[in-house]
Order: sequence, then C-alpha cells, then structure tokens
Amino acid sequence: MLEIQNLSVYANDKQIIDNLNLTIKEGEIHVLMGPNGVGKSTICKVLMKSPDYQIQNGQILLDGIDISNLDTTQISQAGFFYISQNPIAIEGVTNAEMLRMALNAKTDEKINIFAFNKKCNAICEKINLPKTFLHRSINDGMSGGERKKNELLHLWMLEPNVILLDEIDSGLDVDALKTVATSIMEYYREKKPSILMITHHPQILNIITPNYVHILKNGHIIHSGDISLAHQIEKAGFNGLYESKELSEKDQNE
Amino acid sequence: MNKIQIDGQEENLVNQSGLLEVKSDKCLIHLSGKNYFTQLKFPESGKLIFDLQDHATFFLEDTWTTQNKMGTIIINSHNHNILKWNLAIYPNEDYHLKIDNQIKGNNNQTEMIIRAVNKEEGSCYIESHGTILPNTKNNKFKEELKGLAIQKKTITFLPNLIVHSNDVEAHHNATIRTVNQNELFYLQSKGLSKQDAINLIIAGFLKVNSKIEEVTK
Repeated sequence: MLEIQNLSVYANDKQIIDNLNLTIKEGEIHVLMGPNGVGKSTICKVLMKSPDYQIQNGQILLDGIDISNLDTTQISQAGFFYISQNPIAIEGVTNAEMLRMALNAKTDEKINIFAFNKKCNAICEKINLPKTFLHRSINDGMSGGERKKNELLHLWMLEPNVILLDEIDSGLDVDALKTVATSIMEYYREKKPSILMITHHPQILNIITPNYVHILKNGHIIHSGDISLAHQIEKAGFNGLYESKELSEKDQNE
Repeated sequence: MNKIQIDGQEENLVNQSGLLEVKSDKCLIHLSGKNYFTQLKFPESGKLIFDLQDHATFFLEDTWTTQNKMGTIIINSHNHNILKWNLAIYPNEDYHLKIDNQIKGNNNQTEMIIRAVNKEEGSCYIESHGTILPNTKNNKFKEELKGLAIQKKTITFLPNLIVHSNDVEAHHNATIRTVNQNELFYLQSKGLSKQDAINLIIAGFLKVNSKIEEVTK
C-alpha cells in the first residue's frame, strides 16, 4: 500500500504540492486529472525522488515504511516504475545493457545471460517489439510510440509493484495508445501492481479502468470519485467541474 | 594486402590483425593501399608522421588512454586519400594530444571524430588542426570533437582549420558537456546506482561508431 500523507513540495522556492493526501492500496488503479500546471506530473517525479523537487512537509509510506528519504535508485529497487510523458534518449546505451545492469543491481547474484536473453526475447514477442530494439540505444531515433513501447519492455523486464504513468497517452495515435494501454492492463492482470496514472484525456480510461479518479487543483486533491467523475470532466471541463463543486460546497457550508 | 613503410623499411601488414604498433618515438610511416586499424600503439611522447600515398585509405577506430599520450601526430594526405579516424580518448592522468592534418593534394576525404572523457584524475587537452593547402582541389574535410566532462577536472579542445583553397568543403565543431541530470535520473529510476549510471553514460558516449566498416566493404 502506498500512502502519501500531508505532502508539500517546493521547486525553486515555489510551492507546487500543498498538503496532498492519497492512499493507493495494493492492486488499485488511481487516476489523477486536472488542467495543466496544477502539479500532477510533479507528484510522480516526487515519488521517484527527482532531485528537482524538495519535500517540505509530509511523508511517503510504502507498506507502512517511510520511504521519504530514499533516493531514486532505492525507490526503484523498492518496486517503483515510472513512465514519463516523453522518455528521454540516451545515446550509446542499449536497452540490453541497461536492463542487465538494472537486474544485477536488484539481486546479489549476477543474472544468467542465457536466462536474460530468453526473457528479453519472450517479452519482445509478447509486446510485439522487434528484437533489434534490445541492441538499440535507449529511445534513440525512436518515434513517440516506439519510445512508449520501449518503456513497456523495461516494465515487463523489471516487474515493478508500483507503476507511475505520467500522461502516457501524450503523442500517441489511437492504435499506439490502444497497444500501450492494453499491454499495461495485461501486466496489471498478471502481477496486480498499484498504478497511479496521470492523464488529461478520459479515452485511455476505457482500457485502463481506474478504481478511483482524483481531481487536482492548486497542488492538492479537491475531489475524488469513480470513473463517472472523468465523464463529468469530459462534458463540463475542469472549470465547469470546479464551479459546480465550489457551489455545492458553499451550499453545504450555508 | 597493404604496404607500410616505417622509417624507410617496408613492412607488410595483414589487414585482419587490426594492430599498428610503432616503437620509435620519431617515425615516418608511408601508407599505401587500404589500411584499417582497430588499434594504434605508439610511445608516450614524440612525433609520428603518416604520409598517405596516392589512393591510400587510412581508417582507425580505437580507444586511447594515457599510454597513448603523444606529442604530435601529423597526417599528410596527397591525392585520392580517404582518412577516417574515430577515436575515444579516456585518460587516467593529465593528457595532451596534438593531431595535425595536412591536405596537400586533390580529391581527398578526411573525417576525424574524437570523443574524450576526463576521469577524476586527469585533465584532457586535445588540439586538432586541419590545413588545406593552396592550389588544392575537390577536398572534403570534417573534424568533430566531443567532450564529456566528469568531476572537476577540465577538457580543453583546440580545433583549428586553415583553408587556403577555394575548392574545398570543410567544417569543424567542438562541444563539451557534463553528465545530463535527466539521463542520470532516468537510469536511476530503472534501479541503477548513481555510479553505475555514470559509468554507463560514459561507456555509451565513448562507444566507437562502427560506421567506418561500411566504407571498407
């Protein structure tokens, strides 16, 4: 279970996240929505301990253990996996080299090269990725869709328990989005990880169906619900939803 | 089979060995035919002059450390020469290298790509000079220096291009960067330690481009 408690985050002396509280139980899928600039991506990066952000207050707990002071490497080895909106390219570093090193870092024993190759090939086949991608530089010269598929290769190889998806629908056409989302759901059905997904567009939720949808404003969650909340946003937009929520809160207070 | 004449004595070198070893610290080497080396060994200081005979090719892909710290390497191209060097330089102490390409004739193609990373122990100073002499025609010259600066030591490039001819295509560039923090974050987010991530980035940066092989076929 992942618990974010009273989290406040700064970047360049500016507060981005303000007293955020969120609990994601094992096997749950949560979606964060909100307009640009409200802090959605920041949450994912903070969870991965990006050095760009400083935790001012609050805690992050994984299965009851405080992981707020772990660094990015430790967070990843604790079972976190992050797919960013635009995965970067690293020239000269192949997928195979990186994955072998990452898997070796996870255990005390060196991974068996034959077992590694066999697993890589099996996963490439599963996600319909050409095996040549294993020996290509990470995301180098790849289209947006190929980069996301490349990240899926990493996902299946590294087998995380907590997956953070930051606008993975960004830059994908309809078919590519379906392929990527379907593969994530296939992983979900097999391994039952916790998933926190950021998205602007409710269409992806037809494939990655969440347990909860949360709306973010001014760095904290202002409303939570089920998938019907996403449909309301599709109809009314974020501003329409904010207004209706503020009005209903005002009625309640009066 | 290509022929190499070192200090007036003819040496026959089979291409497949890939190694050219020079033991003298001052040496004139005449190259003819096709020459493709994956290793060039020479003494730590001194002067090495390569004189390319007409129609000779000279391809080199190699990684140099402090053992290859040279005073000066001069390469003379005459006519119809193809020279492609793809070097990775990774010294473990202070390092100074000077390469001087002299284009003396016509219809030559020169491409020199040098990638350098300084380790914590060493600063790296590389001069790469290209001179296109007067009355030469139809030459192509390219020089690219790329540096990755680690820790607090320095990398210094001195790319120099002097063109006396009106019939030449010549360009050079030099860039130096530090380890990209986004790359570090990305690799660490996959579970690599910071040091493993840096080592992987360095290895990837230095990886010699094998495009030269396509030319030799």
